[in-house]
Amino acid sequence: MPSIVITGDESTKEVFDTPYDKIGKITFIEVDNQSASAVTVTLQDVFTPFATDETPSPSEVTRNRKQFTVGAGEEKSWEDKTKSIEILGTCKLAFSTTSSDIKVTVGYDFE
Amino acid sequence: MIKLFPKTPEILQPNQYIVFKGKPGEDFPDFIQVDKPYIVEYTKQITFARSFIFPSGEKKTLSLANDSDYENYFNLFPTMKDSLYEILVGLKGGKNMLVFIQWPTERYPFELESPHIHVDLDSTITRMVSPITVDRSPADEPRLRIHTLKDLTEMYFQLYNNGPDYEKLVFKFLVNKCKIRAVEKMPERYRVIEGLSILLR
Repeated sequence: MPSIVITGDESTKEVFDTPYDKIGKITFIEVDNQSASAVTVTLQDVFTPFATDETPSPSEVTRNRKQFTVGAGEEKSWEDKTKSIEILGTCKLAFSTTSSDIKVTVGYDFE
Repeated sequence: MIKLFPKTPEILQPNQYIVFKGKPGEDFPDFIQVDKPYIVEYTKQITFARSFIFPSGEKKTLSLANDSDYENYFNLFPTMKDSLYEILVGLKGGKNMLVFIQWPTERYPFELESPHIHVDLDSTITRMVSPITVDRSPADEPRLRIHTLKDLTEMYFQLYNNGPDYEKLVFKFLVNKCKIRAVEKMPERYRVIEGLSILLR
């Protein structure tokens, strides 16, 4: 299953696009924060819903799926807590502070 | 034409026979002979997928017929008189998504006989009458089978998100495209394809 390392040097970074006929699953997340301050990483799901009777002209939606906070100089990983997370559209990471010393490894799969 | 099975049904194979049952001139297009046998001359399988992300508590009705607006039409009707589409419909993803079958327009053929319970999305109880769900026809073991013909009365899927959050529902279609030809002699074994009047009885 694929994984990717994302550097937290911008406030938002794209991780993957879920294929049209699939649902994305997060298999694990590792945050290595070697920056000088704590960081909160938010796992986001960005998509545009289908036009319904109630909302005929839908706009893009951003749903925060999970937040992870890691102190300065710490490294943490999550596996069991991420397996139930579903990504319907584009998976992004949002960083509370930005630094090239923040590395996030995201493992994912599609079902 | 529409059936929900307890397990995945067998699809039609070449040299098998079918007989259309129902009201002549009403249930089927004029070119179909009711109560007469047809042979399946050859088949071809096409897979097709559609997906939808729905907000909680919202609905949309989509036609299975053909149209250039392929967002709102599934385009699952043949265009040739000698074609029969046998379609297995499997669902994946949103466990709270409900799919209601309407045939014809705004008519729910799968209802109980009681006059007190009808499909009505406004009530938590009445929206539980005959919805197709991921559990009832999963993508890897589809149990919903639909037959379509050129010029057949239009069928619809009405989608409703019965959950508390956005849900993504994926339709996986296996279209068994059958070329059929009328034959004179009634075979010993054949499969019945029932028309709308039988379904609404």
